Amino acid sequence: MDADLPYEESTDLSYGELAAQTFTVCVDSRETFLLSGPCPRCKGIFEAAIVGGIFEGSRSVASSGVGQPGQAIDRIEPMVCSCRHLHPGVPDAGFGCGAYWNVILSVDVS
Amino acid sequence: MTIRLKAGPAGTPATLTAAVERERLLRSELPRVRSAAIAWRNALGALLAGLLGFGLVKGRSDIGQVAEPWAIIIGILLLVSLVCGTSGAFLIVRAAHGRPFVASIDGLMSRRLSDHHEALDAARALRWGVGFTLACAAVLVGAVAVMWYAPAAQPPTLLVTSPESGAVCGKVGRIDRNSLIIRSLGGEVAVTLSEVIGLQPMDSCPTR
Repeated sequence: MDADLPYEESTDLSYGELAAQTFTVCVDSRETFLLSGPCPRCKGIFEAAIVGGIFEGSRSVASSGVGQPGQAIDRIEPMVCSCRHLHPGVPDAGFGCGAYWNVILSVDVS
Repeated sequence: MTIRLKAGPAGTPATLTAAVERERLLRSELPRVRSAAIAWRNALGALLAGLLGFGLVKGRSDIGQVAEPWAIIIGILLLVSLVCGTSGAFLIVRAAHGRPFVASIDGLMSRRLSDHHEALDAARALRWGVGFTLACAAVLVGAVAVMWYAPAAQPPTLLVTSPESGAVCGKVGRIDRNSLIIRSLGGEVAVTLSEVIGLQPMDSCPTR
């Protein structure tokens, strides 16, 4: 891990490709996905939860679910490095090294 | 279920905004649920405390003064109110402070996921708790309203025996100086209290 890498909001197509190769995906009984692996830029290990619904004030909590059996769903998920290292230049209340990318989470319920 | 991760399209500033916002929402989700539950707890506690103000308004307060079917209805309403209030309080406290249980470490994938699940459970408990507490308040107000406006219970029926008036059966009217006024089928009968030698409560007067 390159902890001294300065914070910089940057993206690259290779980030998504690297993440697809190195990240592991776990799903729990509530159909929440946990992606964990090294950041393609700073190599810091972090995890990202892909959830169907989230509490927002008093609004109802909804879940998008994972679809019907036999149906494959491709979800484009935005990712940002949220490693715990304090990179130089990270803004207040910010986190990670600033790298961001997209991955496609393909779920086939069979 | 088969899960695969593939490279996505090129990132844009919107990608960064969405990912950062999701991360921040997830990190603050459980504290936000807890603080919302505490705010609801305080507000609903104040509402229920305000209902005590009903006691300042003078009205009927003895359930024995209400006619028979209405007294039963009031009892049922008070029971429903108690169940709703207890359930609501339990659920809101559960949402505000969590459950006092020990979780199995085996099923724990990540602190972030367990916090998210706890936040969803707490939000659900909060919604039900608010509903139950409002129902408690509504049913309690209904019980007080029935108590106040339901027909009054009939006065007791007595069989009074005295040497001067014999056996007189009827409903108790009033006490006038030393006399007990009985409303019998034949009209009001005054029985001198000092002369009474027998006093028997009756369900109804015997028909001749």
